[in-house]
Amino acid sequence: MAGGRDARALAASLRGLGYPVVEVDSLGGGAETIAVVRLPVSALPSLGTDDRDAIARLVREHGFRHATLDLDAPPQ
Amino acid sequence: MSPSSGESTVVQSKRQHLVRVLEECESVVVGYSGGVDSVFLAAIAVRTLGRDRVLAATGTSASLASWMAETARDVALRFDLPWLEIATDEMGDARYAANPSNRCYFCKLELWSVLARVAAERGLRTVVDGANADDVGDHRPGALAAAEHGVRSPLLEAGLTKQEIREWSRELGLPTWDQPAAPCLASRIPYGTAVTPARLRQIEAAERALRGLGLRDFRVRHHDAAARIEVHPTEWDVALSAREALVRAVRAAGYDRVLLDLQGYRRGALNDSLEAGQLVQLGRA
Repeated sequence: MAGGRDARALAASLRGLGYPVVEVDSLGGGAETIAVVRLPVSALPSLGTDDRDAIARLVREHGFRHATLDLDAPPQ
Repeated sequence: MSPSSGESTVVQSKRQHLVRVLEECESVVVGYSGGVDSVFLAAIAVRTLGRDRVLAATGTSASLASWMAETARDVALRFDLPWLEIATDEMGDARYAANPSNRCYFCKLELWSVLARVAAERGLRTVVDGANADDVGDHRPGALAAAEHGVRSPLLEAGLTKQEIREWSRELGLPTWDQPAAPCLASRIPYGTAVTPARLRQIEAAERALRGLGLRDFRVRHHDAAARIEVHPTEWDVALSAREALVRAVRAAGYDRVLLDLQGYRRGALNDSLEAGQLVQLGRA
């Protein structure tokens, strides 16, 4: 089951790849663990298919089932 | 023989096969959801058998999105298809409402029971559904209920693929020819989380709002207070460009968190978590 540690580790891994992650939340449990990645609004339009695939891959490697972006993103 | 000629011969052969299957059925009640396959099947059935030997029947319940019911009605009126709207009560079956991985079996048990009664009352010989050749191998627990009720699948028996059905629909002028796949609203709720009318209404409200923002091929997956939105990759930019309106609309539907799935909409993704023993796969006709 995904927990706080996995979310923090995931955030660090994503920053290590150069993504300007504000934070990562985890929701759900069991078979439906969700990583909620918060990026600044300014970063969203530039996320291409390769970026989305890379983030999703890393999310799965950290034990989450679903990789998501928080659409209520901070304005930065 | 050129590939295109050969291909067209195969398609023509399938079309003829479909006509033969329908003629074998003699008279039919079509499980008519308003989706691509059932609309096509109803239209071809009327062309083949005549209006007096066909009834397109839409089972209505909280799990059928209202826009699908509207499509079913509008196409039936426009193409003069004999049509009946009839309530189904799969929600009254606790086995369905518990939302196990074979939920569709209990849903279809109810639907085919209701339509079998309609067929008997109207003197129509065969109940048919819109399963097609591309459904083979998919997780389709509803197919067991169909088999138990003697429901035939003419499109599957004829070997017609979704693409072929869409092409033929387009030739017939059916407005559903390019309609995205539209499984029932209960499919948005993870297995093991109960299907309730309130949850279905919430999902429908969110999806209706997203449709209003221009999205066509997407799902709002229900995770309690969070909506996890899967959009087709081709609509990613549409979703992002409408981000603020999208967040407002989905929150207005009752969700606290509005999430965009990075992998996007993938047909059958709900079943990724199922183990091999849980899958009920549709076989060939």
